[in-house]
Amino acid sequence: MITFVDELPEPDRDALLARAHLVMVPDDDLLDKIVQLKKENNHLRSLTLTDALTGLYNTRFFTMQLEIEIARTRRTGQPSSMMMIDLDNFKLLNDTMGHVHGNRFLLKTASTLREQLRPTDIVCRYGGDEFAVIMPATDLFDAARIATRLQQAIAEIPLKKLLPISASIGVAEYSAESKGGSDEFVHQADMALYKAKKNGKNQVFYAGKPEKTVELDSVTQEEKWSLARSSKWRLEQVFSAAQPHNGTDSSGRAGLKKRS
Amino acid sequence: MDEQIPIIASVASGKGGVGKTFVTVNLAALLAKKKKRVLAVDCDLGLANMDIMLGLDPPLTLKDVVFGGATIRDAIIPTKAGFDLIAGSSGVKEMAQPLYEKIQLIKDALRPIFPSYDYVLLDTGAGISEMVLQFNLLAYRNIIVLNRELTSLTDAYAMIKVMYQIFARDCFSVIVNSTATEKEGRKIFSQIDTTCRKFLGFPLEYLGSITSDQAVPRSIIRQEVLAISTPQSLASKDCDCITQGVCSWETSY
Repeated sequence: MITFVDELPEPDRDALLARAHLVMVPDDDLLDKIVQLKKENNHLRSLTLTDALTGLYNTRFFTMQLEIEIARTRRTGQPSSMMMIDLDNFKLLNDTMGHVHGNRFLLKTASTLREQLRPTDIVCRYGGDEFAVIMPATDLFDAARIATRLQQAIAEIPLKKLLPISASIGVAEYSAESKGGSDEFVHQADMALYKAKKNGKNQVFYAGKPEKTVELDSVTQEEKWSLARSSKWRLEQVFSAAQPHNGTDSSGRAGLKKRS
Repeated sequence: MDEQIPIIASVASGKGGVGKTFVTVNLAALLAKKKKRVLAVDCDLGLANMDIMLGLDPPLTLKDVVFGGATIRDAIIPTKAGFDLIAGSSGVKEMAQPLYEKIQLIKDALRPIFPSYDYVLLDTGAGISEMVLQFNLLAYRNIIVLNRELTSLTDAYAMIKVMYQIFARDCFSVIVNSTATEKEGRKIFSQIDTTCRKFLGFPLEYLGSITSDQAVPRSIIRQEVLAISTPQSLASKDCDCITQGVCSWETSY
């Protein structure tokens, strides 16, 4: 292994300089070669850890980092989260517009992920159109919010052709109480992703707790009716005799009636 | 009450124009009158107007804290009504939808100044954007303001449901603004309360109603705090009752 003098820790460097007369000084030619080798070495190392197309981290780095995060969670008790992102109908894009456009879309997705995530999050290309994100020191609540934002941002990436490209996301949390290792952690996120896919794609699913966030739905007609009962009372008791109906109230009621 | 932990309450509504800022300002003034140390933060970063309501021209706002490198303490303005104010920004596009990191930055900047107060009131914007939800999350108590319009009722319920589903919040206090009678206020509250119990499985707390009163728009035009300038008005008396309800939180803390 070749190490440059200025990369050494201070005591080592001082010791070395004290014996400078004993150290062989390479000529310029050799020095150039060493620098060249050093550069190639760094390049090769980055190749083993990043994805060639998108420049994101690769699965290898992901697996290494996941172990580190799990160890951190066990040590500090602070939960970590991860998400698995799979592009919906990506094959359709490749088939209809060609692989060049397909790759371009993957690049856009990669930059969208980088933009939307925090500096501490680790984004990896997990497979063809699959991405994985490690969110250190993030619980499922926060991870779920981040995932929802990513899902929206990906769905908004412009496309030349009208294709239903979107993202399904599975989110999982590793807490101090979690059993199993990284395999189990990845499996949980995978299962959540599978559920998101099976449930109609373009959505976020969560593994395990909190149960309360699992069923995210908008205000239902039934709830609206339950609320509207009071307005009926108000309209009859307060307004009807004294003054004409307020615009928003009457249109709101009409809308509710039509749909139910 | 522990000196170190203030009561942090957000004032939210879902629908705009139901009187969030009016409630925040008057509540802050009345709490200050009770010798409490109060901070009101205008968290409506897109279209803030608490400074206008108070007739102030703040030299620094939350915008300067986020983008200009000003410290949060510099942005604190004392008001005539006796409480401190941190103004929001209005008409700044970047602030209307700040990035997640910026929201975190504001939250992190606010936290260290909280211990200097007994009460912190966060006036959030309308809607259920990420920013509004995050500020509601920062507060321990969420005050929901609504009025007699059906749309404000459904929007308030939507806000409660989102907060419950995403953040598992199940403790909300309701104020019904501009009612004809006290009875109407109770009736409107009972409807949203019943719906909450039935569909979400938890009750709401009723803080009270504010009677529709000509003194309210008059005070806003004059840029006065109603509860201070016209304490004998009906709406001011209602605000008094609500303030007492808020003070009762101290014992349950």
